[in-house]
Amino acid sequence: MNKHKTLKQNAKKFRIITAKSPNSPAADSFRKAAISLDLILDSKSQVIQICSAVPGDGKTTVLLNMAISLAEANKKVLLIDMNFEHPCLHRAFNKENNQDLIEYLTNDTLTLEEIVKPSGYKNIDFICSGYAFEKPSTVISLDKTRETIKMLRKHYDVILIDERAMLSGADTLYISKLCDGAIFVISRKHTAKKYARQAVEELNKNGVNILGCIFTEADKYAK
Amino acid sequence: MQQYEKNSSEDVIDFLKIFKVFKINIKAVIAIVIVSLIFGIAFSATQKKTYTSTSSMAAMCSGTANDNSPEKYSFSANIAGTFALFIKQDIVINQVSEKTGIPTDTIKESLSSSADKLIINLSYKSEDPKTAQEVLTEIMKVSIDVANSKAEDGLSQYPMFEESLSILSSPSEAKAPSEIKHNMLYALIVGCVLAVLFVGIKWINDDRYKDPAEIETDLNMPVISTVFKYDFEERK
Repeated sequence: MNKHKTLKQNAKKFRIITAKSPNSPAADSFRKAAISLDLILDSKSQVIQICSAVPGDGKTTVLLNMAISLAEANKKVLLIDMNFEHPCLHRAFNKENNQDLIEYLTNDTLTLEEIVKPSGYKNIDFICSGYAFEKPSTVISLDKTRETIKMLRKHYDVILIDERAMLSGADTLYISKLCDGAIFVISRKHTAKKYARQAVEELNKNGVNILGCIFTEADKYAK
Repeated sequence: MQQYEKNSSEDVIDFLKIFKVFKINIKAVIAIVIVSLIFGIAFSATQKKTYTSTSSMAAMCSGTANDNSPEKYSFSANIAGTFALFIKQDIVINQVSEKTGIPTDTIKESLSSSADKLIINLSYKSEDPKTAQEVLTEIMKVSIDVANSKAEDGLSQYPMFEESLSILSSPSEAKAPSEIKHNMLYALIVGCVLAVLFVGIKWINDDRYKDPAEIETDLNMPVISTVFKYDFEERK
């Protein structure tokens, strides 16, 4: 009962509207995004990074809501927190941010089964990032990360990766080498055009497969 | 025809868009108008209150012509116009100044007289309602006395005043000023103009994507979903 209550509280805090108000128009918008993604995805493209130009654009909100929408459609979803600078996925699920991913990638002390944790939502598991360190790119570019993702592909229909904002560091481009595609989040409230252009230009330059964009906090007339 | 229909539709969308831009900024618009009204009220409160007393006189000459003749009417109108000017002359104002102790310049500034056909409208403004009424009474009394005394001296134009003028209404009790209503109206207009300017400038300087179509055009990528602003209490 307590666990359920905490998840509900976190749903409000992290704006997981698909869980808190599943019948709302906003939840429908996330479901629409999930359906569109589902149509795009196939057996070969199942690892998606959720990226944005600047912090505060709503990457984690989009990621959580899409994960729940996909899980509702009986997809087995894994969320990986690769935002080493400001990890927050663990808080949405009310879990401790252990050194799981970093520990697993840098040492052999943990097994894959140990770092994958149930989120509390049906069909959704997640992996904590661990605490921030100086150069995340030195870890996530390791071959072991590729191998890990390769192994996880077998167990999940969709793997969504949360990461830090593109213009905050080079992580996104490293992570993109591990992913099949990227979803770009643009917020009506926060994303300035010049930053969005800059970020998309970088993605295109590095040959990232941009699947599409999710436009959040849109004014109600923006149809 | 199709082109025409398309253009008409675009015009309607643009108009709707402008309306909705205001709707989005409605809180700011209301705030600006309210602040403007508050300034209007504050401005009115700082202004000195002026009270106006009014009175009117009629000019109708009693010559030999028939009562309803056009000549008589025209002559009476001329007398009204002349008296409206005469009442502001130094010969009248100086005497009023002596009796009331108010400087002549102040009296000249505060007194207004105009002729409308046969009617002479007089008004006097003062910060004290009683003074306004008393001074206007004095002005009327002195002007008629001066006209009478000049007539006795045999000056040609004055007998006309003596014979023709009658008081229609004595100086009224000075009324409360209506500046606050005018100031509020001006403040409302200024507030609306400022609100329009604010919304317009904000919209023009907004360097963010306003709708999905703009993103698709500018970034050349599909928008797979648009999530509108929401709160957690909203329901279908």
